[in-house]
Amino acid sequence: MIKKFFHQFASPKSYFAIANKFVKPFLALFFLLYIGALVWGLFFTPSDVVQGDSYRIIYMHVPASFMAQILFVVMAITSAIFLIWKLKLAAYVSKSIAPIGAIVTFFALFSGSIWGIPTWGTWWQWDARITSTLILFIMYLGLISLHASFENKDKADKFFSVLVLIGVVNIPIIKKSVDWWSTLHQSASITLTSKPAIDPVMLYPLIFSIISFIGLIFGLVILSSQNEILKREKYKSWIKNI
Amino acid sequence: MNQDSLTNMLRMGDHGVYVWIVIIVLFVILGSTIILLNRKIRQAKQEINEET
Repeated sequence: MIKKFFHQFASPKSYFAIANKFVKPFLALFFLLYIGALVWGLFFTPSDVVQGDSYRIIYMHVPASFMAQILFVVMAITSAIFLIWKLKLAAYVSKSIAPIGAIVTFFALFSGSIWGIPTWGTWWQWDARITSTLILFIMYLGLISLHASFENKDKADKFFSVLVLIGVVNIPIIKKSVDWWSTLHQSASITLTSKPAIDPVMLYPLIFSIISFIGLIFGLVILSSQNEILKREKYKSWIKNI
Repeated sequence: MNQDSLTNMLRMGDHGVYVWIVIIVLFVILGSTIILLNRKIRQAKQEINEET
């Protein structure tokens, strides 16, 4: 029964129908939740003793940086599913994550640069965390260009998926860069193994902003995957009835 | 809450301008992505309907 359910859901037709029904309320819900998290973090938390009010960029920069990496990992999982089980939907989802990932990574770099001006006195440093995140951004752009350069989209999906699986090695490098090298970028304030190095007054809106941003970005991924399905399946008979 | 405290809250001190730049860019990016994707989906559906 579970196998049947997955096979049914994994068809572009079923996925599109479900996504079409839920994507808008899903996006609206997480958009509102994220605005709530931002209002909480920006206006109802105290200033930081060292950084003053510029630390409030954390409520946008940290969720974006986190999502930039999570999206690549999800893309690697869907790419692996496509290569192993030849599920077309996995390839479509993988492809549709790339532009959203590029946008989120760009915003993570941008917000970090702006935050760096008052905090570090510079908007850019070639330190390990920032450079590895820039490489992630370039990888997203490279993957988009690679897929677009192929006439044969089935071939493009295969090359795309293999490159994603190679590129995912950059994610642990980004994660560990602040521990492996001496960097200007601070080490992680929230880890699974130790007590957060951030006061609960600032931590709770941060966690709320991360969770709501995850929902919001996955909403965008669903929207992007619907667009991909419409492009790729436009000559299929089921699509005439949408 | 009087007007002065509201203004102070929105100004976010000396570095408020950096925070506001990031907020504006974030919402421009999110808004334009949602609008663009919705438009592309609508166009694709229209094309499919015209072909049929």
